[in-house]
Amino acid sequence: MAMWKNPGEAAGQAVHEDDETAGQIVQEEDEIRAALGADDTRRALTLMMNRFGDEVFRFAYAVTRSRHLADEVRQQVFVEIYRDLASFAGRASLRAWVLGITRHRCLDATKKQRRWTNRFKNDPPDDEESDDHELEREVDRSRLAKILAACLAKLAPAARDAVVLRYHQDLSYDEASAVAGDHAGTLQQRVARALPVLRRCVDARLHAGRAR
Amino acid sequence: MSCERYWRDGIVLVERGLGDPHRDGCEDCARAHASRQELIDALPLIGADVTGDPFWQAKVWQVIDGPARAPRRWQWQLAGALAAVSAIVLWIGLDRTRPRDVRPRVEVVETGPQRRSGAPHVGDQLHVFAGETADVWIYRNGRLVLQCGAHQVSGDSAGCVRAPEHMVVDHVLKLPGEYRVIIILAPFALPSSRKLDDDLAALVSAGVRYVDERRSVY
Repeated sequence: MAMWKNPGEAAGQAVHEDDETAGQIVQEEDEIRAALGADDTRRALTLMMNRFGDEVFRFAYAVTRSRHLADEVRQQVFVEIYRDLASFAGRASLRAWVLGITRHRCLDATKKQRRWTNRFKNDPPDDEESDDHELEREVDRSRLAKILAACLAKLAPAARDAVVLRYHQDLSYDEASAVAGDHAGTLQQRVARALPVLRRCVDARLHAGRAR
Repeated sequence: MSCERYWRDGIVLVERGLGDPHRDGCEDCARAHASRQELIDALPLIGADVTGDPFWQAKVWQVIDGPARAPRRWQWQLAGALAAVSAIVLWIGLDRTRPRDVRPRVEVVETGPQRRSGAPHVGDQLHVFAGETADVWIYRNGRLVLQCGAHQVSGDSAGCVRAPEHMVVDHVLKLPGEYRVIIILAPFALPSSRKLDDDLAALVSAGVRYVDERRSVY
């Protein structure tokens, strides 16, 4: 089994936000709701882009593995949000709503990409393992992230979404359930089945990289 | 994969937030659990070093403020195709070179906490919407801070997004002062002296139409 170099560093990123950050998030979301309450949709959208823009991009990137597609998805998501702001009224979680839209647009984007790849018989973009020099180096964060992204892409879309929502976006299963529209128990099962597959895939790629 | 039991059953318990007494007494399973934790710790790294388009917000506004796009459902496309055939028949003989009427406008979008007064503050975003042939010059306290448009692009053109039929300019109001937005509707290029008074005088003497909007930022 491969042992990775920096679990401690990564764990530092995954910890829950501290009280100050959480307070700021609540304040930002209150401002968005106030703007929505005042029918100031342009201000609401600006605040939402500032609040959720990076998150949407990272989610889309984790699912599509493409900076270009992630940018495209992010743009579509916020245009759709602007169009549907009126329908948001009364929903409990802004974040769940935004990520729910993002998830659907990512599904569309990946389907489109797959159709394109099939039509022109191109191989999907491979990860960085073609760089022979890099294989000699230690497993760094960037490389691990790329391998993980490549392995995530091999999961079934439902399993991939469950893993991304739970452990990339750091949502609880209840929050992820609100985004994905599936029961929390179903998502737990999907994640539990996906993680060993992911682990095997990552180990195999790390091993292959070292063997070359 | 040293512990099949963990990857088959133990991991389900972990995801459900339940304890797994077997793991405490099984070294292989404990190792497998640590391996799962490494995987989870590494997942947030995906995309952490990737940055998107810095002008994505301006592009969102461009789509929102731009001409409406045709619906993509096939029946609407069919209806659109029929309408297009009819339109082509009508179009022949008409002046096809006439530019679209895109009315210029200037908005300030508040980004901080909601304020009682409507006056712009530092950090707000200036949002300018203009036609494809317009030039937009933005000044602060009489000095040019941003210049972009159909006829020229200065070195500092960040935030200008041009499309075939219109242009959107997004500019963050970083400093207090009096901002002036000059939207020039001339069909030819005009140089800027970078000083508001001189440029206004030049515009007047050239006899070109322009829109002059003023915003005081606190």
